[in-house]
Amino acid sequence: MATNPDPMRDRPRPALRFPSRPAIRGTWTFRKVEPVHLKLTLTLPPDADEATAGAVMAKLGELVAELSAADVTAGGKGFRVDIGRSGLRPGPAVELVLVPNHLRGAVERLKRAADLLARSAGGPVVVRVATDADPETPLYQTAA
Amino acid sequence: MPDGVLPTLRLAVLCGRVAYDGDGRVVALLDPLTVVHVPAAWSEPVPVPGVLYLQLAGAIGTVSLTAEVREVGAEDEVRYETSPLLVAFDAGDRDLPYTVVIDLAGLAFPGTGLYEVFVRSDGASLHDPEEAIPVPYPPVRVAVYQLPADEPGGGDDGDES
Repeated sequence: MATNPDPMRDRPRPALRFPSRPAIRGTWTFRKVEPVHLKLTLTLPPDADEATAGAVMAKLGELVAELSAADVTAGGKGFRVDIGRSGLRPGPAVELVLVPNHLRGAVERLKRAADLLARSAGGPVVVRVATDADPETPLYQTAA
Repeated sequence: MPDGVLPTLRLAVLCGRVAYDGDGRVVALLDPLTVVHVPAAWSEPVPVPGVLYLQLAGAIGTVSLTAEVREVGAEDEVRYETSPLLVAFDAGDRDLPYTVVIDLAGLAFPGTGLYEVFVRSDGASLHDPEEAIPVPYPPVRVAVYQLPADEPGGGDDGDES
């Protein structure tokens, strides 16, 4: 059977080398990312009325907007107020619940936000960071 | 890494295992993974035993590699994240990629759906052009489908071939 001539077939081939590095081996341990939130509880004066509470919530809302903008500047996606879980509580007290707009690094970002809110809220305040699955076990809590 | 350079991701493959030669060099990628079929009655997280094979080039210094698994959808939310893996690059022959083989311990997709594995270096995504990585690389994508009960492999006693 005739075959196509291959002028290279009988020539000594150059010694080709294909260098590669020994592999770097490691292990990634995956952990589930749990939805988390920040809850701020600000104690109001005993005679505080709804108007006072509203004013306090408005001021806190401004703080949240500043914190969210700072988070975006730092590479995050910011925060939003969970209106359904926020409001006036018996005591009286104001509760504000923040959730991150993205869960990457959310715990650390919420911890930083908690410290800033505790310093800026004005009044007796406790700020805690917890998972939605176990809100009563704080991952982080500021001093009362 | 103030004096370092972040790596460029040249290749990422999710596979069952890799084969090495006597010098620890990768000689084969085995059982590449892109689609997982689970039986109809499956209701648990879907384990993914395997490794992620990466080729990284152009880096200088030590970087911290992490991964996150996102569920593709409207929210594109992160479902899993990893502990960091430190990898040291030297300044010589930056054209020769570093091969990194990472065992994926504990990775289990929450259920059926479409997932993507993103690799991050010192927090920066190696895939997302918005994060200004010069050469973006698509994320590793895995689709998890559930078989109907009346299809081969979809029943409780069926084995997927």
